[in-house]
Amino acid sequence: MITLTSSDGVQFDVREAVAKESQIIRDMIQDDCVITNIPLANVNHKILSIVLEYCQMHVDKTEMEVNASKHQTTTGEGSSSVPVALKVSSNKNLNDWDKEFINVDLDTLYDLILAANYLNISGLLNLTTQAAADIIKGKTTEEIRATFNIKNDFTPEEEAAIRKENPWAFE
Amino acid sequence: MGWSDLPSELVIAIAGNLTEFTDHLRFRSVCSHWRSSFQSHTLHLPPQLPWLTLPSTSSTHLYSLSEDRIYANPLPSIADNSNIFGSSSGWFLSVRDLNRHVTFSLINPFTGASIGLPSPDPCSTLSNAMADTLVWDRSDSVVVVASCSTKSHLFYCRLGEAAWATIESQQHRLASSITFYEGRFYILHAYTHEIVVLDGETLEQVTVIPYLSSHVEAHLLVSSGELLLLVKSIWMYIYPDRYWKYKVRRANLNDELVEWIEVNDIGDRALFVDNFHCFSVKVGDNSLLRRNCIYSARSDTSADSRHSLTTYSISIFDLGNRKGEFLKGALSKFRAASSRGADLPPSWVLPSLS
Repeated sequence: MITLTSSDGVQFDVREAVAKESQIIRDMIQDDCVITNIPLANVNHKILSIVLEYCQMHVDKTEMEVNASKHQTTTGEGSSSVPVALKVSSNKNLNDWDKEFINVDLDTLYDLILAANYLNISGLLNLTTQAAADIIKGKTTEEIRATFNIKNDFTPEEEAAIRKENPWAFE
Repeated sequence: MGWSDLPSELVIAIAGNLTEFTDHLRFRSVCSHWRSSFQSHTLHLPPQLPWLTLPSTSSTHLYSLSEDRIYANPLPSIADNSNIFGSSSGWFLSVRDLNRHVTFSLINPFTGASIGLPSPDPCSTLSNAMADTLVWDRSDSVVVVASCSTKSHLFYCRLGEAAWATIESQQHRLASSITFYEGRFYILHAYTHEIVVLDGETLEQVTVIPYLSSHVEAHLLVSSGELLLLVKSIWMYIYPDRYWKYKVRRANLNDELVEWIEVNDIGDRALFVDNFHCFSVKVGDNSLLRRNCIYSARSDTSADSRHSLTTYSISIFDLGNRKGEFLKGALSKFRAASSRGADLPPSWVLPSLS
């Protein structure tokens, strides 16, 4: 077990495999194999618990697949169709689970992107940045600003210059 | 801290999941930090789907197939009285006819870039060419234009040079499509049933490839080392409200004796055809496109003494089961009041940022 401490002092005890979903924690454990307590200065307990839920689920699914393929090698050729089907359905389930998991408010999504980047969890970073992009797709610049609460900080001259390049895109 | 303070590498990571060029343009224009994040970053977008020009309107519109959306006034650099012709290179040929004074230019609506082309000699048939019958394509350095309505002439212009030159041909050939592929121009002459191949640099004739056809309307396409000849069923003229039916013949470009074979499977490709040209697009895994299909665009204008109204349609013809259908969505609901006398048919353009 490894203890992860959030920026606001909450401790999470997790299996090493779960913590190692983070590249940065994996590197730490590799450098110092007796490390048991890792403080995470940039992630609060609310976000860390969501991140760990993601890591837990992905580790569980990977282990299930490994077990399934072990099952395949021990039972021989005859039953090979079963694990393949299992693998396909578990991938599908995991994608569905990810979709449901990332259905969060924009403040949480923002914190998750920063946490995934800081902890270097590539799967979570892909998932969160894709979710942000999906929200942006099809929206006008003005709608994107309103959605993400961003102030238009261009000067009128800059704004005019940007629009001049492709005015039709800004209808 | 908020979204506008997101570290630049994360701004770029989000943008990396935007596949539409238009989404990118709007994303970059949200705030100065997001915009500056791209300054030292080259944009790598997946291949874009073709767009359709809708020119028979008082102002030109563009239809985005992937977004199913019509953009008005997409081309501010195009003046009134201009006709535009799409291409598979992302560029439009813009032809402006003002009191019989014809000017040409190249415009890329997706980057806003434009390249001026020389005005043709007033005595040249190019200057008298009906602007609604031009076919064209370009290489890096040469633009080739042919008029289907004047006699036998092909015109070319090297980018940066001051005048158009003529490629004389011995017979009275009328070009009905021009395609540039791997350093060569392929020019289809529908009435003589020949494909003339020109070197893209020297413009010398490399070879002439004949084809047999009873069909007048044929299109040529060069793709993956093959020649594809697309012929439209002439009987469909009797049924104007029906989708077009096509046959495709294929020949290997490297064979000494070109042999045409009729095919009903062109693989993971879709063909885009309009009155002027035809090109192929690879159908990706998650693409909205249907493989082995022909997307053809046309316009229909109904007019009384005072008004004329133009509608546009895209029909999708499956070469495998030889069935077709019309594309539903924004385009089928679009009605354009036409202010010009002669209507220019729609043409496909494949977006490019270079």
